[in-house]
Amino acid sequence: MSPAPRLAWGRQVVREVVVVGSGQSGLLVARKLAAAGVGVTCVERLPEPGGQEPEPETRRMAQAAGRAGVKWLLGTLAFEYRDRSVRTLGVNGARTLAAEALVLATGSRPATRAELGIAGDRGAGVLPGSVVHHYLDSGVLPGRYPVVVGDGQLAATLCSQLLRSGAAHVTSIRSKPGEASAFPGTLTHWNSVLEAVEGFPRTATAIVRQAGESIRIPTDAVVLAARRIPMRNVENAVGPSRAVIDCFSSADPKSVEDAEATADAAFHRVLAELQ
Amino acid sequence: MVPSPMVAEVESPDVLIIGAGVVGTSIAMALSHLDVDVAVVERRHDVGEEASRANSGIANCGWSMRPGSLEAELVQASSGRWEDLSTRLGVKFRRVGLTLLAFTKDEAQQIPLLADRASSNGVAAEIVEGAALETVAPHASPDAMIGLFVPDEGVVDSVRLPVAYAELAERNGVRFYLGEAVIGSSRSGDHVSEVVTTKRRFRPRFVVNAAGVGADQVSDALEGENFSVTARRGQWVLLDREFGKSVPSILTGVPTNLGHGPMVIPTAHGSVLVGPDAEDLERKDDRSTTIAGIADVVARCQRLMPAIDTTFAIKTFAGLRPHSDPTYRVGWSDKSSNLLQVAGIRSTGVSSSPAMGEHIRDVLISAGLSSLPRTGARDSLDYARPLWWDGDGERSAQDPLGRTVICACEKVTARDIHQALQDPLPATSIGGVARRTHATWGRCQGSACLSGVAFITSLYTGGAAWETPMHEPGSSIGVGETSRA
Repeated sequence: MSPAPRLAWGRQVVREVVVVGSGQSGLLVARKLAAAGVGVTCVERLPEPGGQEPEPETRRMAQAAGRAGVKWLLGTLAFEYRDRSVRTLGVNGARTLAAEALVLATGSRPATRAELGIAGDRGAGVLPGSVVHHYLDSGVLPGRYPVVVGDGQLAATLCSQLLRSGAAHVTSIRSKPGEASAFPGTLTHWNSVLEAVEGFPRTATAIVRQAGESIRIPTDAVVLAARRIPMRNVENAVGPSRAVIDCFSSADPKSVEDAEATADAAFHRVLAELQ
Repeated sequence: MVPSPMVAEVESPDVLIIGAGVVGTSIAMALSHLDVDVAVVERRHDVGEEASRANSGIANCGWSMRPGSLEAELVQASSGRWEDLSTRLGVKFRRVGLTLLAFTKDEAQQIPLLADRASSNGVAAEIVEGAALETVAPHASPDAMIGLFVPDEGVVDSVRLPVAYAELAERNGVRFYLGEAVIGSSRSGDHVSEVVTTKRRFRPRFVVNAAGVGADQVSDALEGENFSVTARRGQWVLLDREFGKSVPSILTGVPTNLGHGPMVIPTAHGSVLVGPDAEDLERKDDRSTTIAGIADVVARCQRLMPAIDTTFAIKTFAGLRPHSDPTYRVGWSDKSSNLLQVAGIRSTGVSSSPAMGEHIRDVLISAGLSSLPRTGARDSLDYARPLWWDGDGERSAQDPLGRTVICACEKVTARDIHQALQDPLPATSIGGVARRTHATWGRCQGSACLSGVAFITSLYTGGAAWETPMHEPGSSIGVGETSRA
């Protein structure tokens, strides 16, 4: 990797940047910016750095970022970007942080029902994969015959987690053709799209389109774990603009190398913005 | 004494309102200012769960109503009151204005006629072309030849509205019986003497049938006149607040025999609604969406506003309007002297609700209901609840729950959620919390916060965590506990 460039301005003026999110990409970009002499505050919604990726690797990255001078604002939500400042609310109350650039490293979420174009009833039991993950962690089994939609890491993890947690049977809906390998233990429909769900007050049937035909699958939970969509909830920074810099990798599964490359690209865009 | 299942609890209110949608709750609120005993019975588990849960949110100013009708009178009487009412109830309202667009010569010929109708209704309306059209509706399609601008049209948080009406009514002593369906009645002479629900018997002096899409069944159960209410389904797409920045006002097309057609509507909260279509259904509980229906609604709205971009779509849903023939059946029953029908309020339930309650109150008073005011009745909710990021940040930051944001998209704190579960008419489901706070309703649709909202809700609903209801009984978030591997 090329050595990090230093900024050209004098030491007396510290340029302030806010990084929202402290997963791998956020920690890496925050460290690079701090090492280059930028004043960096990293805002994390959860009480410790690492976000939803609290692995040993992430912990080391957080320590390195801290040593480079990154300031932390933990247990805090960045909710609005306005007039080159970021408004936050968190365990220490409400704050306004100066931010000549805002880096969004807020991670991803699975595609929603609307984004997947799923029609039908609004019964209980159609759940974002991220929620199912939390439910299972907390001892709630969302369904005994779940249908899991998605091709990536989240879908793979949830299929195995559901089977281990008491699901009798997991159906996996894959958009890809059958060359890919099935998630172990699932009944897999390849080249398929979930078109609609039926059932109220609780979901009872998933309607899947496959090779021009509709298949009806009896189910008690539909788990949406398809695609990785960047999480966007800082008002006025929902779409990237000049001073709002996206730090998001669509790779799935995501490796440390992907996070490095994403952080590096974001780092250079911040520098360009500050010049 | 051994309780007999035949002897249910008996209540004897002065007025029994059947249905806790926007119509029933507005009547309850108006009656709550009188020194009378009022009960409301609702078959669903929460107020505002049927037609009131999914509609345009338009607070119509009455520009296109048939002049002289009761509907026009009530809508117009309501229109000027929204600013005051919404402040007192802590319900968002914005007077955004509406522009009706004509794209063909035939449609353009309708514009002066519609302007005349607005003026006979006493509503301001201006014919706009060219630069004037672009000024009032910069987002309108450049293909629009001419338009009619109606500045007084508004939008209100119509999901919160019935909850607020009901909360104020409850504070003033109205009793709500939720999750109870009317199943029968007894008569004495020419009036309904007893109304039987799944849980108790009411011996009311007056009965108000405000049961929306179920008003025909309720009329049957009370041996009132026969009529039928059809559920007219409308499909909707909700677009992100980010897109809402480019939608300052309502756009609609020239009405045809089939109604107004889909509209582009900025919501009270800044997002955008696109819809509805209109389809009369056999099943009255069919709130399903269809791929073709949603595509059609989007295409028709793109004619009004080509920039409509479905990559901003947050959710699709369907709502039901109670349609009856004749529409707007408001008056005493032909069959029972103490049964007041308030049925078939197809599409102006929200728009006429501020005046509807008082109209029904006056009808009941002329039939002998006491007009004495209730002492100490309040006319506002003391915890009008602005979203904290709309300016309540400092107050919110003062307590730990207020500093904990659960729903990051809609900026809902743990305090807001606990409050919704502790209100006078508390949420009893995750959906109830969402309706009161907007938690889980943002662009990530609960991906980040649904579990948090569910677990806070479970603290109040009791039972195991997996039993926490999404909405109606039978909608638990799970099917059991996980097995330990």
